[in-house]
Amino acid sequence: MNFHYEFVIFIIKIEFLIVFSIVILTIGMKFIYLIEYKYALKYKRSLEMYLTRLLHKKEQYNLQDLPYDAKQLSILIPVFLKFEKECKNAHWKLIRNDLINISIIPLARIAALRSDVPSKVLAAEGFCFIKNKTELDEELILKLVSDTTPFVYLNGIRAALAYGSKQTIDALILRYAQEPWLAQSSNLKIFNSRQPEIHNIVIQILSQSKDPKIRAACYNILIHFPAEKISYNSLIDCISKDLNLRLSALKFISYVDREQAIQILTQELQDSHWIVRLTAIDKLSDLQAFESVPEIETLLNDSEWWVRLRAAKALRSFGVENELMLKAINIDPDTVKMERSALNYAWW
Amino acid sequence: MLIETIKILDMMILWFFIILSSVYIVLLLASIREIFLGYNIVQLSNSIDFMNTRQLPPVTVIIPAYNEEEGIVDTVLSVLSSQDYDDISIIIVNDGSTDRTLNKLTEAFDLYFSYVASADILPVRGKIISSYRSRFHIKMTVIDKENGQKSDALNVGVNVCRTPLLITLDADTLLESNAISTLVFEMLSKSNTVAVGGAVYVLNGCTYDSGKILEYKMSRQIVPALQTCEYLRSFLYGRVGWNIFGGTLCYAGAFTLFNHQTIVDVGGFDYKNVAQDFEIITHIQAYIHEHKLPYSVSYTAAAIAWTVVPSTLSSFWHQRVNWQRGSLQSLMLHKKMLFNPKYGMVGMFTYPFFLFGEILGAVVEFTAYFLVFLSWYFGILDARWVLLLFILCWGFVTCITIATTMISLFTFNKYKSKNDIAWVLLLCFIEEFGFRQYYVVCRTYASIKYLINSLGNIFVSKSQN
Repeated sequence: MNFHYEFVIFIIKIEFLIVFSIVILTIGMKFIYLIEYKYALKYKRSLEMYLTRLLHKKEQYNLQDLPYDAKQLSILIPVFLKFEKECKNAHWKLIRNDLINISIIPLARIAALRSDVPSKVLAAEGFCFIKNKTELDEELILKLVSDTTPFVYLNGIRAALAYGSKQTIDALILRYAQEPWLAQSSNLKIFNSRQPEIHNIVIQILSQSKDPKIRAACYNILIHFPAEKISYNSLIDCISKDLNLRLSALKFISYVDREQAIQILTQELQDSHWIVRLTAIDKLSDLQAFESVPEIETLLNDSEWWVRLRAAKALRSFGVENELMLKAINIDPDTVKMERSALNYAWW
Repeated sequence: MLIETIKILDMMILWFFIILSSVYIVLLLASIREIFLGYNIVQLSNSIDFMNTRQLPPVTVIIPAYNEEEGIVDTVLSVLSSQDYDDISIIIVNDGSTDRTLNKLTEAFDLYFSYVASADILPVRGKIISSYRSRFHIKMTVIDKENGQKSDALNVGVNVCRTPLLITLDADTLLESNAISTLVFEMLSKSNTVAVGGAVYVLNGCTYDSGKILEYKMSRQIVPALQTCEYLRSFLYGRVGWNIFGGTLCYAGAFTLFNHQTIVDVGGFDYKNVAQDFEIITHIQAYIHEHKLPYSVSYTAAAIAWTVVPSTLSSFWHQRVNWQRGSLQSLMLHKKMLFNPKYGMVGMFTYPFFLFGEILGAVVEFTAYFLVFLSWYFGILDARWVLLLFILCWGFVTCITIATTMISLFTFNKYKSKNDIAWVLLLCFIEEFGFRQYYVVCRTYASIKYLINSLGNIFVSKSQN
């Protein structure tokens, strides 16, 4: 028994020693991080001073002169972005191209092969500035887009868009198809004011793919390009059995071809699914399609209260006033029924 | 015979606490790296700057409120002050409050009646009476419903929510301005993470106004102050350490981020369980492993919320009895996870630890106190055993609390004043004399009550058959 107690006391001593060591370790780790931070700030400052000097003296960027410790993406990219935002100097354009080609892209290539998330995110950030396309870079960007970590593939998508080849746009669209939440419109704004060849690639993918998710993603992307430059017949998808594809196609056709859209949307007002009827009302209202007023009026008797309400609001926007419309708009709250999946109507 | 039995039990209890304290040390070691990693990323690397906010998923904060007229406006304002995250919607579910909760919201945010479509995905009990939107904040929705308990209110919020991510937030909790972005950052920087827990600190004693905390201060009232130590232990190391073992079984219901679809897939929050935060995470863990999904749950000590804790012993008792009963109920519901390799590390390590260590540990400690009394009564009290027991129970926990307080000082330290730091360190000792024993009795009572109720239900169902 004595031995037993001796053993227990020994275990307890070890445990207390470990806890005490942890406290010391904690203090040590904090100091290490503070030192790292201090040096990171120092490197950033030295890089900023170097670039400011280049701008001021209109000198050329020279990799050899770059402060040694600033040759890290975590230092280069924040400083680069700062200068991009603040610097309107014409000489900056020359320096930035050299900085990108000589330092940022080579470092991004190395970082993209690492396993940790911050390196891959920085790599994707670096590839966003790519100008000279190579197969190696394309491969690395595809790897980043197909990464399972959201933070990595979100930035990988931006890099894929900046690269702009068929393979990278393909991978990007596949990602959008796999992750429905990405198709939210504020996310799709990265496609705004992109080069026209991007939308040609998207149309090419749309023409070749039979996957409804990919087709829907393509439509959602295309409505962020200037309408006059887009030419694609989406009629067949407007009557697709896949609901999400149908909705995306309807939104697309409303964007590119007003006349045809009004025709189709008017027919869709009688669709069996409420979300299609709702979308049709919305789009007809956006298009100010007065010719569809009689058909919209029939929806004042729709079985779903939110469809009746939307129809009434659309008619009001057209300047129509009648008793049925007023009745639809003043719906008794007791009739609110939670029968339908509003999630279908969410952005994913 | 009795004396021999007592001696054997003495040894078993001693070894129980040795094993428990060994696990705590492993958790402490595991938590160090995670805490400093989180600290580094948030404070030093400034990776939040890299988050292109146009690409981030929108988030809905669901706030269930029952008789929360005191703090609801501040809570909502604290969410609205999350300036580094653009796309936030708020759904406040007034769960049949009998006070002026709805009136306070109407006055503060200029609410007007508006229809809100809701999915019928999760079953709800309390009928929705009305719904409102705010003229000040386009993305704020208030749902007024009949009382159906917190889980029911959360389920209503989930049905109305249209974003891929949702945060559950208590109505008496204030968020730090970067709390939401830090939570989302944690989720996005790990693959397939479906839930992320945040750290919760004690708001009692702090000065705040319009949802912003003006001064971080420890409460000078003894009951909330003692809970500060417990929250520091729990949130700064207890949950963090479990990250490497596949995540814990319990995050703070006051502040957790979830993937919306996952909540729907597991059937929402369980209205039959008062500890719905424990139940939902346990259920998610079970679901992930049963369906062999490559998902995980995570925790970050860098996302911080401040909540009001009970300030009297009776309200503390009531809260902890509910938590203990709810946790037991949830563990028994998922008892198939116990030592089941199908559930991976969670089944082989996390679940058994929670059951035997966290939940039944209080019962074992209560038994230890009883055995001390019994040993004294029979004149066989072994002073060495008593001393070792108290070193293991009290001394070790005090040591852990001091260690976590030191970790807190060197990382996300919110208590800057020397008085507060001294007060926390003093409380580490005070906690062991009286408060801890009160808590042990409370949890033991709850466990026995649960056991009696369960046996009663079994007896009733058998007699009906």
